[in-house]
Amino acid sequence: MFELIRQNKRRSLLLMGFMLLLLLGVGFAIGFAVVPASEPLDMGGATLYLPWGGLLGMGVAFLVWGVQALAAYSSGDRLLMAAAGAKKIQKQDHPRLFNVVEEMSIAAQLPKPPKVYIIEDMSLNAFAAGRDPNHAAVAVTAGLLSKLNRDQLQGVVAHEIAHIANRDVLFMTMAGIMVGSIIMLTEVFFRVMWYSNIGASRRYRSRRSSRDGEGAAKLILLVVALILAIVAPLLAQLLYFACSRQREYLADAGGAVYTRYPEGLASALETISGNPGDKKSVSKAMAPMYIVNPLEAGQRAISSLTSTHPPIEERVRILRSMGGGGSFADYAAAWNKVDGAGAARIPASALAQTAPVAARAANAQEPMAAITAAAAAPVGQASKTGVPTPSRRATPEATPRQRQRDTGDLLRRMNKFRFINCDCGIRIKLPPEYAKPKVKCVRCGKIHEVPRQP
Amino acid sequence: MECPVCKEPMLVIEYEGIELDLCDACHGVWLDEGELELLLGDHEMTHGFLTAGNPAAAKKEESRPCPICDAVMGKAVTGGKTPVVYDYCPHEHGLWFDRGELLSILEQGSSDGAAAAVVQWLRHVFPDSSTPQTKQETLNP
Ligand SMILES: [Zn+2]
Ligand SMILES: [Zn+2]
Ligand SMILES: [Zn+2]
Repeated sequence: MFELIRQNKRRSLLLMGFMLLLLLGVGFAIGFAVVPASEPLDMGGATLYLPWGGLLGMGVAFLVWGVQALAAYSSGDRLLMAAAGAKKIQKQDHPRLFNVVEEMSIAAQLPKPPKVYIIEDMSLNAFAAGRDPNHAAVAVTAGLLSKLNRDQLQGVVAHEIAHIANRDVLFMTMAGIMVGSIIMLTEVFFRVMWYSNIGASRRYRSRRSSRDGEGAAKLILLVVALILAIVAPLLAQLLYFACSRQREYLADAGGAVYTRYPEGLASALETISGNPGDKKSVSKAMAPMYIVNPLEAGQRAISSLTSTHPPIEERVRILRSMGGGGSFADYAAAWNKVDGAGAARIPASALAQTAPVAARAANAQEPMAAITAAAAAPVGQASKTGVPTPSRRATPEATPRQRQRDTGDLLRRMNKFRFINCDCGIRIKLPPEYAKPKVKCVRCGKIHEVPRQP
Repeated sequence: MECPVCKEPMLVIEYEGIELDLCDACHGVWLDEGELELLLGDHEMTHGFLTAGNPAAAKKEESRPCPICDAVMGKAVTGGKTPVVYDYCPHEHGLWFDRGELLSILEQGSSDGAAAAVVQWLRHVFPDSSTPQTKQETLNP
C-alpha cells in the first residue's frame, strides 16, 4: 500500500506542478495583455524589455490560488464541510454510522477515525475532506443513512476512507481549487480582452510608432497568451479528471477490500446513482468530490474525457466481477476483465502484498442472518493479508423503517427538537417553535412538561 | 413543520415504529410519503381504494399548501360508503388528513388482518377521535 500512496503522491505532485505552470502562464498572459511590456531597459549595453504586467499577473494568479488553498488547508475539513452544508455529529447521534466509520478506519489502518458529518438532504451521496489521515472527515447525506442497509453503508464509508488512506483528499481539494482558479482567471482575461482596446489600438495607432520588431514580438506574445487562455482551463480539467478517475477506481478497490464484501459498494452505487442530488444543491467545485458526481449522474454515456468519475455501470461491473475474492488482486483482475487495462494501474506491491482473501457473506438481510454470518466469517485473516478484518458488528442490522426513523431523529436532534417518551409507549417530538410549556399525550392524556430548549 | 390549516407548529408522534405529524389544535394528520408506505405495507387494495372516489366530491374543500414545499396540494377522494376527501402534495411529499379522516379511510378501505392492525394502532393513538368523517364535513362549512 505504501507504494500505492507514494506513486499517487508522485503523480499528484507532477500534476500539481504542471497545473501550477498553467496557472502562472495564464496569469502571465493576463498581465501581459493589460500591460504589454516595459520601456526598454539598458542593462550594460543589451536592451531588455521586462514584461512587468506579465510578472505581476503571475503573482496575482499565484495569490488567487494560494489564498484559497491556504484557507482550505488551514481550516482542514471545516471550510468544505461548511460549503456542503454538512454538520458534525457525535457518536450518540448515530451510533450505527459511527461503528461503521470506526470499523473501516481500522481496516484501512488510519491513525484515527475521521470526523463524521451529516448533510441534511434526502439525496444519496457522500464525500471525504481534510488535509491528511489525522485531520480528515467524512460526510454522508441523511438520505444515504436512511436508504442504505449496513453492507451498503459500509461500502460507501470504506470508499471514502480509502480516499483518506490514499491521501486523495488534500490533492483533490488543492487541484480542484487550482482548476477553479484557472477557469476564473481566464474568464477575467477574456473580459479584459473584450473591454480593453487591445484589439482596437492598432487601428488608431500609427504602425510606425513602434519599432517593427517589437510590434511583431508583442503580437506573437499576445496570440500565445490567447491560445494559452483558451487551452489552459481545458487542459487543467483534463489533467484533473484523468487523475480523479484513477483515484475513484482505487477507492472502489479499497471499498471492496476493507469490507471484504464488494457487493455492498456495488449495490450502494446503483442505489445512489438513482438520486445523487441535483445540480442546484451541489457546487461545481465540490461535485467531483462526491462518491457519485451529482452533475454527471443521469448522463448514461460511456466515460468521456471530461467526466470526473468512471461510469457507475462500469464501477459496479468491476466490483461484481471480483468472483468471490476480496483483495486488491481480485479487484485488479476484475478491472482487467471489464476494461482491459486494470491491473496495469494498480501498483504491483499492492497486488503482491495481499494474499488471497475470500469475500465475506452478506450480513444485511435480517438481524439473525447478520449474527450468524458474523459468527461464520473467518477470524484472524488480518495478519495474513495486511488488511485487518472489520471487527464484528456490535449492533444487529436495522430494518428500513428503523433506519428511516433513526435518520429522522438525527436530523431533528440537529435541529433542536425535544423528545418526550410517554409511559404509554408514545414518543412525542416537539419542534423548537413549539412554545407551550406543557403537552398532552394524544394516547393516554398524560400531561408532560416540555423540556427547555437545548 | 406548520399545520397547513391553522399554521401551528406540529408535533411528531411515534408509536410502534410508525410516525406521523399531528396538529395540536385541529388534530389534522400529516403523513410523509414514506410513512404512508410503511403504514399501508404492500396492500394493493388499499392503494386502489385511496383514489376510487368521485373527484367531484373534492370541489367544496378549500385548497391547502403542502407543509413541506408550500405547493398547493391536490385533492383525492377515496372509495367506500362515506368517501373521504384528503390532500396530497403534487411533489409527493405526503398526505394531509383532517381530524379522523385517516382512521375513517383505514376502517373502510381495509378488511384484511394486516390493515386492521393499523386501524388498531390508530385507535390506540387517537382513542377519542374515531368520529365518522361525515360529521367533520358538516362542521366545516
Ligand atoms: Zn401517553
Ligand atoms: Zn391545525
Ligand atoms: Zn410538497
